[in-house]
Amino acid sequence: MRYDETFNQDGYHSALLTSYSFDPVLFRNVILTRMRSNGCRNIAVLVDQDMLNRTLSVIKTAERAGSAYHLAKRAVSGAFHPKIVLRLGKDKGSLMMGSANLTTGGLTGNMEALTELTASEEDMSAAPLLKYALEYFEMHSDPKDKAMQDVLSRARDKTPWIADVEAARESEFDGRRLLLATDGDGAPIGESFASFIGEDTIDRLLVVSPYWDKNLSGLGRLRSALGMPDTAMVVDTEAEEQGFTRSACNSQLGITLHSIEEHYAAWDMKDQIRRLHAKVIIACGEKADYVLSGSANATTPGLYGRYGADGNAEACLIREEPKGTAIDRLGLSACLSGEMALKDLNLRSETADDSHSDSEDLSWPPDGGSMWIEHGSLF
Amino acid sequence: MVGSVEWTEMGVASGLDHLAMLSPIENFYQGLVPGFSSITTRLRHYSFHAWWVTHNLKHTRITSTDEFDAHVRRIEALYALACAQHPFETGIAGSRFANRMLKEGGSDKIDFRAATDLSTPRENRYIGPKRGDFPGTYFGQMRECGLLTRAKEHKMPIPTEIGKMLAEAYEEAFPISIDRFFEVARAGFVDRSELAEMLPLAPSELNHDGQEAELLREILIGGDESVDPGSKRRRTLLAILDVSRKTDRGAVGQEALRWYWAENEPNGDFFDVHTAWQHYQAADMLRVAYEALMNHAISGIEESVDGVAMPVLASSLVADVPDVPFEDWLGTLSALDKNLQQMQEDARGEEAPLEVIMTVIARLWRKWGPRVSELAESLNAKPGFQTCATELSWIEAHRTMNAREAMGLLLNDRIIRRHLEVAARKLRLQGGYTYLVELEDARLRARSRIRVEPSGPRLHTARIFLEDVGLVEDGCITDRGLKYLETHRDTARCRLALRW
Repeated sequence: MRYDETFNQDGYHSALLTSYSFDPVLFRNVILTRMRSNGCRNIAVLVDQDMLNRTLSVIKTAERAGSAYHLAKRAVSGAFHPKIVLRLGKDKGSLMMGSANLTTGGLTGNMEALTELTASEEDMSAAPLLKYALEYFEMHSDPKDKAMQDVLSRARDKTPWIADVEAARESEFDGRRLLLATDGDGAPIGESFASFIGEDTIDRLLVVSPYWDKNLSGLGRLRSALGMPDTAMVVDTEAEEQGFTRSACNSQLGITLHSIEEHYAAWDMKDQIRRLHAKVIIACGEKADYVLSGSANATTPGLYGRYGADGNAEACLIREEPKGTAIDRLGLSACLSGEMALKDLNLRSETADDSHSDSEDLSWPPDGGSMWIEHGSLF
Repeated sequence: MVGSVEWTEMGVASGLDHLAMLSPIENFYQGLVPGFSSITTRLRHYSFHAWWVTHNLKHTRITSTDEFDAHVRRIEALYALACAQHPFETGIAGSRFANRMLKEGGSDKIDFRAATDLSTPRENRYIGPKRGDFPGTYFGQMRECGLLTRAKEHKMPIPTEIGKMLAEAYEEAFPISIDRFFEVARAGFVDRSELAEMLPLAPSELNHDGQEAELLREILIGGDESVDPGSKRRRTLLAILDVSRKTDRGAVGQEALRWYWAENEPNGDFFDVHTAWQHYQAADMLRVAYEALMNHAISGIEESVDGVAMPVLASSLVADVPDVPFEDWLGTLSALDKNLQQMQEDARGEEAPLEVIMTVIARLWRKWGPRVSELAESLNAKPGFQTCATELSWIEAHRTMNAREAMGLLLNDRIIRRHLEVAARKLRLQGGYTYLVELEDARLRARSRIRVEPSGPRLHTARIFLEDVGLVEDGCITDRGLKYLETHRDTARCRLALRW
């Protein structure tokens, strides 16, 4: 899938996007221009507050924000991390969810994983999930942000079919279940994944993630919930440092390490420099395969964050696939053909701080707040 | 399966001109040598193409594109076979095919039907492009030279009056019957003995004393300067001859010319064109220095695989810049006793220090800073373009700022942010992924470096063409060239005097 090209599609009047990281130059030049030239002009973007402040301190300005699109900040206790693109049209809709931020890397440069669900006049089966995504976006929007509320009102007003649909997290496609899991569901994503799998016995777990807890606590909790299956961790061997320590890895029995480079080679992408940013967890059960993909890294804040409590805001899809097919379909069997030794990886120091390394960076800039015009006055 | 996750694809990761500074420079030098390109390799090919296009107008009269293309493929392949027989011939489109066919034994006949068939795979064709060499390489340049145009009715290439004259002169020296050449081309195979008779078609076989060579010289250098758009080309070619004369008949290769014009002050008969080439060289040197600065920044980013915040990067890159006003630092750098060519070579070096790269910019600033409007007028870039003129203006505007602060700003605003903007536009407009650095999580991440190269302003082509018509030999002006220079210098003087 060429993610950047999906923004060329026409038939949508509104687009609601969320991202942790945001490149205003890329967004204006590529995503915004493509969407607007295809008739989509009611656009709002919700970005993690700290990351946006930091980006703007570097890039200095987000040109066309406030005129051609609405750019809003969102602060949660962890990171506001979901990557959602919800587009609405008069008689159709599209929901793209995955690991890709609204940045150059997210759009093309990184190795990302995405899922698109569409609703149309011919097939409205995905419509309840789209409405659920709309409500999730609304939940994270500031009710006092008038410009955002205007975008949302226009989006609903111009989408007659959305009023007739009841939002739902779960649906069935091709006879198999699909669940939209977010931090707003009452249960963290990791728990939703375990509930979705239910009584099926998991033989093997494969986890692709660019980030990990120092002590692998998030992964450990998920494995425990799934009956401690053998687990293959697929890592980016080109990364400067893996997030976990040697002792964390040694303490997890039944874990093997594998390189994503093998996947690139098998998919004829060896010459491309791509940073792993995809987050995909495949649980291979006796009855089916279960694939969790989206914004959540294999970390405690990612998999076990909860709305209004600790952890990140995240959005993922959990898909049931035929037994024994998902690993091959995604070309990950190539990664499993060889194992990495711990000594071949640059692991996190046992004494390193628990947070992600930020040592050389300047401090996070303070939030400058927001400005808006109401009844001719600037607030 | 609906709702299943997929990997994203990257698409083509390639591209040039990462700061979008090259295109105004290319436009500028194209205006100085219209009718040439880096892929128009020999001047006599202009005669050949003018000749068969004229023949088509008068006799073959093909007006359908497909038929025309098939005709082009056959005659180009036959022409390549004829020219490749010359033991030292260069610049022949399809020479690899021709040499292979000539070396293959076994038969008295060479069959080139398959090599000219559209359905033949690219690697087995006489030349890669399906339509042959003429439409993409020669037609446009010959039109610039005033030799060809398009017919109003059917849009096929037709000769102008000068084109017809050149065709006539070419035909005079044609070694076999004209009809026979086209008959063989149509058939798609040729007897080796008959091919041997076609050897005089090779560009190197041009008789420098003949009518065709005289006409080619006129097209290159002669003609009425005041009305022809090729006057700048003529002045450039005469200036090239003049450089060889002034340097004791020294060789006039592309490198020698560009640095001669850059280092020496214009005067005499070719003041205007010499000045124009100085403007080109200043613009290209600044672009090269900026691309070297981009690489310097990338090397700073590469130190951390997980990326680096822009302010952190900027402060580390400028750590060695002295704590003095920007103009003082530039003044010190510009006073270094080094020639421009050496300065540029040093700046292009791997891991070139910031000071070495800035020496080039400082020297340009010292010389051209007070004459920025002259550069701006000459380069005539559209708004939004970054050129030597805009950048020297920027430096002028920041000359009193602290050097470290100004350099941080220059690297941030004029190099890195410029690249991010250019790469984003290229992704949107061309779909190509040309990012050298990416901004993610408010950090810059390095992907690859620029291959910093000076542009090729077609002076090499100019030299080959002058050699083709006997005005230059092994890069040095010939006696004929000297005579030609003197005659046309006088004419040019008269015309300039008349205009004044």
